[in-house]
Amino acid sequence: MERAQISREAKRTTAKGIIFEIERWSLSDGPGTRTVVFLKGCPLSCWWCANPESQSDRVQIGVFTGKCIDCDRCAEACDKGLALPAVKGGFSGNGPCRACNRCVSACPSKARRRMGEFVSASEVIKEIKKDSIFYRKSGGGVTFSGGEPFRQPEFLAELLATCKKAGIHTAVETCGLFNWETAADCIDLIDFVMFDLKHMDDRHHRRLTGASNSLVLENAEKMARAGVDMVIRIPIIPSINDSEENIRATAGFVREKLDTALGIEPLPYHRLGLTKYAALGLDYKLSDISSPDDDHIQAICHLITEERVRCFSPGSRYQKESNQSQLTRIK
Amino acid sequence: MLENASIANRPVQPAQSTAASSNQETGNDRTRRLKNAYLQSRPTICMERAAAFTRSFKKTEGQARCLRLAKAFRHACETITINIFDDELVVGTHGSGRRMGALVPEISWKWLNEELDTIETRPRDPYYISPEHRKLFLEEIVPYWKTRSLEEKALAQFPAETLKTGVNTDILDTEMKWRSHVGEITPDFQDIVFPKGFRKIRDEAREKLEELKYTEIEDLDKIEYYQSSIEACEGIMTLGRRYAEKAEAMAKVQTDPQRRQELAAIGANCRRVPAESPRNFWEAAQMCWFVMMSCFLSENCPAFNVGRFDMFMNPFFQDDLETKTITGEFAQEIINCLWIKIAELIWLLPKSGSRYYAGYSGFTNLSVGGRNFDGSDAVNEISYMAVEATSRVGLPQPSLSVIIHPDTPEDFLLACCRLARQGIGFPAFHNDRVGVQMMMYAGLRPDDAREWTLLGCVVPHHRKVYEWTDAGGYNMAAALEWTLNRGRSRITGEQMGLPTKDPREFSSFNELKETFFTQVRHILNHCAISTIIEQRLHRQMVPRPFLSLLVEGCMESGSDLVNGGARYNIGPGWIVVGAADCANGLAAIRKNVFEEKNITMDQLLKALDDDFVGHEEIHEMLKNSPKFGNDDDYVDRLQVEMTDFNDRGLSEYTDILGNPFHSAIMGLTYNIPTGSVVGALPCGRKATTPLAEGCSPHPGTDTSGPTASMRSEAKVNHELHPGGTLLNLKLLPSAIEGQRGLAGMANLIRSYFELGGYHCQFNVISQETLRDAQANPDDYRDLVIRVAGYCAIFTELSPEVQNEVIRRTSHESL
Repeated sequence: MERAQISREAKRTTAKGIIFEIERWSLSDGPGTRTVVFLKGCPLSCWWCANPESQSDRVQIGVFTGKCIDCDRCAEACDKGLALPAVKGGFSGNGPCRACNRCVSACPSKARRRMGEFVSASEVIKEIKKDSIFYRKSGGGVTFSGGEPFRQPEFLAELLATCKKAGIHTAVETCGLFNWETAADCIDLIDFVMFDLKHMDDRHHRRLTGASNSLVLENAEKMARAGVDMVIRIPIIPSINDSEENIRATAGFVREKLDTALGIEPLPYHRLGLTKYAALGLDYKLSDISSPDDDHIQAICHLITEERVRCFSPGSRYQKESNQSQLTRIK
Repeated sequence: MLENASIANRPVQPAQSTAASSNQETGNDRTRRLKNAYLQSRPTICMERAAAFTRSFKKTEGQARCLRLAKAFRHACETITINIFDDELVVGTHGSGRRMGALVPEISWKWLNEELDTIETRPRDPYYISPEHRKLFLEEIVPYWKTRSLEEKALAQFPAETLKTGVNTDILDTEMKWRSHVGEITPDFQDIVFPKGFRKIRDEAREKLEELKYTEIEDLDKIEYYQSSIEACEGIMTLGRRYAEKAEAMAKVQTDPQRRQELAAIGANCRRVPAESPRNFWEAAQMCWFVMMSCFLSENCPAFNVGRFDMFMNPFFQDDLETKTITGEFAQEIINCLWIKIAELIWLLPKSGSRYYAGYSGFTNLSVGGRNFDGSDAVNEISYMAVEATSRVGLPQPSLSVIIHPDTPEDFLLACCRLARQGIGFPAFHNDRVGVQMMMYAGLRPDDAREWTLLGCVVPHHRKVYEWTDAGGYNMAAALEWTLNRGRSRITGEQMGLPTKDPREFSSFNELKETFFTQVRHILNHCAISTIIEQRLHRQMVPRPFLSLLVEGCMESGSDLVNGGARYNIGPGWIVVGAADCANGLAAIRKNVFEEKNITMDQLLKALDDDFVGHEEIHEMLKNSPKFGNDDDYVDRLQVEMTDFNDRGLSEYTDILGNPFHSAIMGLTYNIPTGSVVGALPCGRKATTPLAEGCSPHPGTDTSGPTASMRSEAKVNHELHPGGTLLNLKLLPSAIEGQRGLAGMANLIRSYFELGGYHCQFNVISQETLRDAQANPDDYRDLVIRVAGYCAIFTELSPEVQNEVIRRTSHESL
């Protein structure tokens, strides 16, 4: 009995992973009410990324000028002489810092924030289960986002398996750039996937995200064949990837190659991540672009629909209708 | 004249939306014109009721008190101005115009004497008073009521220590029941008012009277009671007659044929009701209004509730549809007109009270949804129309409450969410299961309990109940301050609480907590003392002959409400304020002083003494300690302990009818004045700033999203607080847009209720909008906002309250 408990405990803590946030009550990351677990580390570095801390797979220290009371406690605490109060320029969080956390604990005003944490799957599961009642009543569940969740396949597989066992609906948001073979265990455990297609033109994709889209497109096709309920998402960055040509190309790809996908959801660009760039000492390459308005998004939806692909406008539900299987092929 | 079979048979669609409805329909034009007239009217003090009572009282010296009050009520009905305004379909005012605050001098007049020159310019809820009414007040009303008001007697009878703790201290607000009348009644439209009509009620009293003998000592009180019932019936019937005459006279000279026809119909309605039973929907609405306004005429005070409106109005609507004498749209128009009349009911308060109940609100609650007596779902077409009326009218009253149970139709819940998303703060969502449990804890049979309704803002109630749901409110945070300062106020240094031991000598967290509860008990003792003295005075001085007609049991037993005549009597409720500040404060002490030993008690006390100035690190440490509202058991369990204690501590006392006191954790704007007398607290709250409202987390500290807030909140044992609990959630519109947002909102409600939560309400508005409204009040005259469990016109609130609304946490899901 005792041994059984120990081994169960041991099993529960086998997989560890790095995450940077758990967000409860999300209505926009899959069906129903969801808890979103953000896994850290991403192969892409998109110009518009709203979560710059999601890119590195290391723990980082963010510094927030607005909260700094300039007490110098961080500088005193840092044995490498790297930390400075945020108002004095803070510290970029890269390079020789090992994120030992001394400056963060020393900061009385929470102006220094640890971004990223190594956690066990069981710790994450405990948090996920808190909102079970909200999932049950809404047809919601958990969504693993990132970063790129498939970059931590063992951790993700354990999270997914435990959630499935607990009857929690599982979803994954992916940028598409991952090794299909190592992710295969996970894919069997996923109820719903949101798959990003950021640009169909490989030259642009390389320039804007730092990587080619060929593996992304290949994985999208495999995902479609795997039969997972899938929504294709396009982040709509005005003047960057929202040309009629790119939208039509994306929709055409979905129609021709991803015939099991439920449809396309345009995601309006926003700049809410700006302060996090500053906190990490990173440059933001798109600072003069504003969010697309409703008309703009409607126009995109119109193009997608013209391509005979279903479009989920922002705020609409991913309701499966009786004729769902034909929805992407309204011919 | 209104026959239109095709429209009449069309079901009212909940999905017909609302704000964008076309204005071509005359119904909406009428609603808009009436609403504009309402918004242009100024809250005004009216002395007509006070003058009538005074003149009548002068003539009835020596008679039984109940009879004198009934005659005074009748005299008011005979003499107040009769107003029928343009466009109205439902008519009647309880004073000389719209939005009249009527003074009730038999309770309290002194405050107005003191505020007469400042009330027009006071920061919260200013009132206009005309020179004639001012003269009437000074020359006729003050001279008569001097030494005769309930207020003067209460203040003379309170023990010295209760006076010291409970009068003008913001530690105990005892003035609720010596400065204001009681209200807190739901007329029994279903079983008394509609089936009988006041003529039959009067005749019943006459019959009862015939069986009684002046020679029997037990009969004397009953004789006087039934005589008072007859007078009160005559009073309200007179009102009906006077309105009928006025409408008929106006019809004669009206040139517009449509309005002439309407006036004639109004005249006919008032010939019929309130003397006789209503025969159709329009008459029923008019009768409902006559009764509501007469409640306000008898006592100008809050929380006269319409009750389960859909339940008692639907039969009339269905009959009229059957006979094709009404259309859905005309019924909607009548409901809209009734809503605007209800919004006219305002509660006149002194400056001190207006800090607790900002916004002029009469707290006239109206409930829809829920279940029937037999347990079946009670939603009907009128439920949807009530939601639609609040959407179209968009005024802060009536306080629309919906009761939700597992079998509530999803489309009705979504219609309610759509209304909530409009950002006017309504409806208030209530959990049927917990409401029923609260009523049963208070002593109701389960089947009666199913027909529960809402009172005031969030109080579970029933039309067959007499109670003081709001005997007063007390400041729990003061007890924490006293615990950490040997019973002294940290602001004035005055000894207010018990001189408990030096906090530096507490050997454990539990010792500190027990001392805190001892201080709370000390406050509760004065709560009970003040209430019992007030109840005795109410029984002696202000029986309620008109209101006793409206509650089952009084006629049967021949005794007034104040003497326990109602079918059910529930003990008085006391509202606790600042529970979350105490839970947060105790959690911060436990963590930082006793467990992690980050600071010493001495350091903490110094930081509190200095309001954290020069102790920024300690301040940050305290602010970052666990806070209620984030689904963290470390502090949430303390909140449960605070609130459970409120129930246990209060239920140790019984009132003059032998019923236990009970707990309420709502709040209104109590948290602002109570906060103003409390120094810095160990949760990191600065001195004199507002406390947490009701059962909600402290503003700005619930940072983990609405599901976490709700899970924290649901840990509280709501059924132990029959005085109601409240949770306000502010949501930015972006969080709940589209179908997803609507479904998400409905899901929050269903899930919270399954977890055992009792009430929730949504403030859907952007902070920018609110700031803009602060700067440009004229552009936002109709911006209705919820302040702690009720709605008010935002621009009419004081800047302090406005800021409070803006500061509340927003839950944004992007």
